[in-house]
Amino acid sequence: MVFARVVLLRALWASATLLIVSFIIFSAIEILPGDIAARVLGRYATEEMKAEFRRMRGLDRPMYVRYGEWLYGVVQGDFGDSLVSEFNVGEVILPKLKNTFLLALYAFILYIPFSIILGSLSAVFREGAVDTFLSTLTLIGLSIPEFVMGTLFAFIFGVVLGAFPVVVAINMAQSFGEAVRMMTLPAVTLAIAMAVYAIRMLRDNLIEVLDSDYVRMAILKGVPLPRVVLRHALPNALVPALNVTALNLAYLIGGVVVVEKVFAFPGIGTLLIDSVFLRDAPVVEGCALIISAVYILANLFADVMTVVLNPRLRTAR
Amino acid sequence: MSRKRLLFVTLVALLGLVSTIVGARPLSVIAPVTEVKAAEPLIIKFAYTDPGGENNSMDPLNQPSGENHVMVNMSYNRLMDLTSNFEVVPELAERWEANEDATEWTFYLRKGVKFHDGHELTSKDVVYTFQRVLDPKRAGDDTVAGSEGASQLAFLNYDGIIAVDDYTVKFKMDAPAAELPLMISIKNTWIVPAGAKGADLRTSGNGTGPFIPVDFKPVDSPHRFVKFQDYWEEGLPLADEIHLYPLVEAATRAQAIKSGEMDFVQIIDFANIAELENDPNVTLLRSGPSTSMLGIMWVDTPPFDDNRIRQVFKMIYSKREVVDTCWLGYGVIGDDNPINPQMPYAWRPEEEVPIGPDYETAKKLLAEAGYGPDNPLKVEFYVSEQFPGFTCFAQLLQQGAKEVGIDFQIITSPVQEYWDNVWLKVPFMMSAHVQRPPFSGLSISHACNSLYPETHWCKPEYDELLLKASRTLDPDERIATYRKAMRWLTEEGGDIFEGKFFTVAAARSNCTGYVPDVQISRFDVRRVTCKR
Amino acid sequence: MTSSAATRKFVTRAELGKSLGRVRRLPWTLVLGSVLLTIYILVAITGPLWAPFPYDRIGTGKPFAPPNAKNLLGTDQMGRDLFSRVVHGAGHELFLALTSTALAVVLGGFLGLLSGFVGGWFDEILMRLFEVLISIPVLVFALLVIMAAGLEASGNEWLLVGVVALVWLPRTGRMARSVAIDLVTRDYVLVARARGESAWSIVWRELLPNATGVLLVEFGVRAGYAPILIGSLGFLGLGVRPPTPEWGLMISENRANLVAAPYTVLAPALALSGLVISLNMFTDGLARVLGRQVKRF
Repeated sequence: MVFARVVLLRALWASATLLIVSFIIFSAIEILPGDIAARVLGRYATEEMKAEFRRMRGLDRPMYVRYGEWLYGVVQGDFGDSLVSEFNVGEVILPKLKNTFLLALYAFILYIPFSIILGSLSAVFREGAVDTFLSTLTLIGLSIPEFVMGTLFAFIFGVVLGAFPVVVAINMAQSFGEAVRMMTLPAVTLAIAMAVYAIRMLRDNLIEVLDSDYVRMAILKGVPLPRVVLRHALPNALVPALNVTALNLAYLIGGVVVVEKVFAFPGIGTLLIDSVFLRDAPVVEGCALIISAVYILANLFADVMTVVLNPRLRTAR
Repeated sequence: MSRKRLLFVTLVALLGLVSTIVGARPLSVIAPVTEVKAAEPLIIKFAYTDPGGENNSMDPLNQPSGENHVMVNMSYNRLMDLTSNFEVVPELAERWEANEDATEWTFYLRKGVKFHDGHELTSKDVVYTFQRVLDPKRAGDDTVAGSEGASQLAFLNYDGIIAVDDYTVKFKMDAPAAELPLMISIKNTWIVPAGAKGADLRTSGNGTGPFIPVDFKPVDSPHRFVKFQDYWEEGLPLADEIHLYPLVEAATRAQAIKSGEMDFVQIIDFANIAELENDPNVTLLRSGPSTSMLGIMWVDTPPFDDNRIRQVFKMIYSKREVVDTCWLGYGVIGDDNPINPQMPYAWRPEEEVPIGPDYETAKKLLAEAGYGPDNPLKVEFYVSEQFPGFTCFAQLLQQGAKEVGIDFQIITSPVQEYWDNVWLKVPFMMSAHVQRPPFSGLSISHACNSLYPETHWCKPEYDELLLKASRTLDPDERIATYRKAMRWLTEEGGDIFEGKFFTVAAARSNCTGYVPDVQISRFDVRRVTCKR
Repeated sequence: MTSSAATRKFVTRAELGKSLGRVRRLPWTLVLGSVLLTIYILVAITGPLWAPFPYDRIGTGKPFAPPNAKNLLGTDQMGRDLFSRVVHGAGHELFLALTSTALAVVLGGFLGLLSGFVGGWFDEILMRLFEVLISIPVLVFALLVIMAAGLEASGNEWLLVGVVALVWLPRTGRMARSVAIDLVTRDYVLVARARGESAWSIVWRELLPNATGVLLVEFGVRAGYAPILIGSLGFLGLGVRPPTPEWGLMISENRANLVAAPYTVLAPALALSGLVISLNMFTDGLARVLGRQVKRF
């Protein structure tokens, strides 16, 4: 089956991409100025201490040996130990990944209906007041840096109104409700940051579909407008929006460093950046590979869905 | 199957998945609801500033973020504690004495002190602690690379640290050490159990201190500490649990104390003070002059090898303006040497330092040194915002430099990169020092054998002064000798400013018991409590 | 990605004229966007002449003075006039955003078109390389490049330009390639090919002019995001050198003061958002005129 072959090929490419990404990052950390021994031992470390540290962690061996060893471990499902804390990378990353996953899930749950409803409204009342208002709003939304938006939210809802906590100590949450309340501000910030793209995308797609002959026909036949939008136009317009959603997902897992910093949220983005600064190659690799994999998978999923949902493309390929 | 139906099925499946995940309670990451006890335990939420991350450690020998190792403070004790004026007060040692020429010191340990694992403190633990600092491998711990303490304690003799009996420890040295109790109270000499390995201490934190870390993981925050029931000080600590939250963002910290999410905040940025001062629910706590801020120049590298150029950079800004602008008044000026001018033993210029910049003299000195409008002096100044006010200071210097015709470039570096990639590697940059007493403050980066030659200052006569002082038993004579060294640095050294800022902490008004220390590495939460 | 790109309609130069004629009035976003952008450019060019203070003058007012007659937008901690800094910053902002994006769009556009036209192994390898680069998180990628460039270069504006261009390059390249894939089947390309024109010549004379519309939209989108990226780098301590009045740097310098002196953050944030909004409006309107969607990321 052609379809299966395409998917298989893509999967192969995806693994190759991950391999290359891992190599690039490993060598990048290797050539960066700065020394993990100095980072771990601190400002007043002596040369002997640093040499001793490198010997203890096996950093005195050539890079290709260490990369090969690491790769050999990865193939067997072991991502190595953190060079800083000596914990297994899985142990270091998993709690953060769980937090990020929860936050991403929450943001996504807000994002989907938010985008669909506002995008549809915008398209149905296109060029009208609602559309103009929404498109201005989304333009403004996508023009405000996340760290500014996050800080403003923290200030308004956290300090002035006191409605939500500004510090997200997610692992201290005593109940499900508390966890949700804690994550609301960062989740809303993220949802808005993502939705502004999706709303505009969906609006444009929907307008295109609404202009198509079969929708015009349906309207002419007397099918009520809401029904036309919900049953006919929206499902078709959603397909291209899948791409944006896939990319948004990748953004959520990896690109949220700034939002995490604003709310002191213990997520994978912060861990990644901190580990780059510490030159902790195994942890950086672990985080980066997860993020890259999510990106690639999301893209793959979007592509496959596009092909599946669009018969024209299925034959064209 | 039509694609609409397929889409529908997919969406339903997705929604199902989502609701299953969301609906499944309790979520695995969320701690199970703690059982309600008869009396609600007193939990204090304390925000501190150091992210630490994976670098966090409960091993006193493994304290890279040296200025700020709050966690070790909670679980360990030292032989002696230091007050804000660097007076030595008893802690695990009840009393101590020296022989006549101060080459032999004897410490008498407190009895009945328990470690978290239940065993009693004896002199064996103390001897092991100090030997491990000096040479971890020889002491039997090959799991740590060592610490800066080894060089700071280099005057000690490894084999001269002796357990006389279970409660008496003797330090025998080849040369006199007039201020030994002060000199051995450093950030690596928290007492650990004999035989303890760095690999275990890193996460277990087995000390004699008031709090025990719970399930300590370097990257997992908040860090939870519970009261040590057998703590040796009667009635202490007051809190049942302390939770430490690393909040890196200054704005977040201010918002967290304002909203009441935190009971205490370790450091409030000066800009947020005005806002919090008017808040009836928040109390601000201020330390004395604490960490210093300084520019450093390599005195052996052009153009800074010319003392006239060094003096130029010491006079093209206003010291008062640095304190008033960069610290909004929360600090004191410095005398271009490491010692806090407010200390009784500090050397002060006979005439009050000119507060405003002296552009005329600076221009004259520049011209004498051969620089002028057609041959302007060009410098690159490295800085990172290690503490509030650093970039501001750099820009004040830059403004003055512009005024006298110097081309002054500021190069910033991320905070995390600075000590490794910039410090000691460029001839003109900013640095910070925790406040130290004269014997270490004047030697740590100015002695010829210094491991951290910040200014490349190396004068054998200077080293002799310090050595003489460290062996002088008469305090007045000792201070006079130290003052000579201070004055020399001010007049010829490569340090600019050395002003010291106040540490401002904040507490909710129902909370008491925290006093910010001048040494940011001292973090005392024994008496911290809140009325609920 | 590539498959969805194929569904989009691409307009050629000839069709562009038609579509311009079809639109009776220009979209308001294009008009407003152009006006705002013009204002920004005018401020950037003339601002240094009429700004009340130099951008680095310390002590023009008390620290954190609220907006008043002398300091229209108030002052920052060092008593520098925020209004003057914002005005002076326009030039830096436009320079950084436009140069870097232009570099990325030109290089990426060219590589993408060439790749799409040449096809085969060249195309395959280049696209995989782009995919690899794209799948590394943006901030981490930028972080690695800046730190690898070393200390002396840190904060250099040209380094930032290069980094932002490098981040955008694979993205614009992929976009251009999808256009090329669509264009190479067009008659005039086939004719040129039959005439025996060289690949360079075809890319230069046939593909590039017809892809201009897409690349312009791409340019607008990227240029709108560049200040945010540069600001985020400043947020992590890797932005421009102080006292450069770059708005992102001003925001991160003053973030701690948001509660105490909100104007120190709001002034540069509004200026930055305004610029991004006008760039986005302009792009949005342009895209409507050209009859295509704005694709972000």
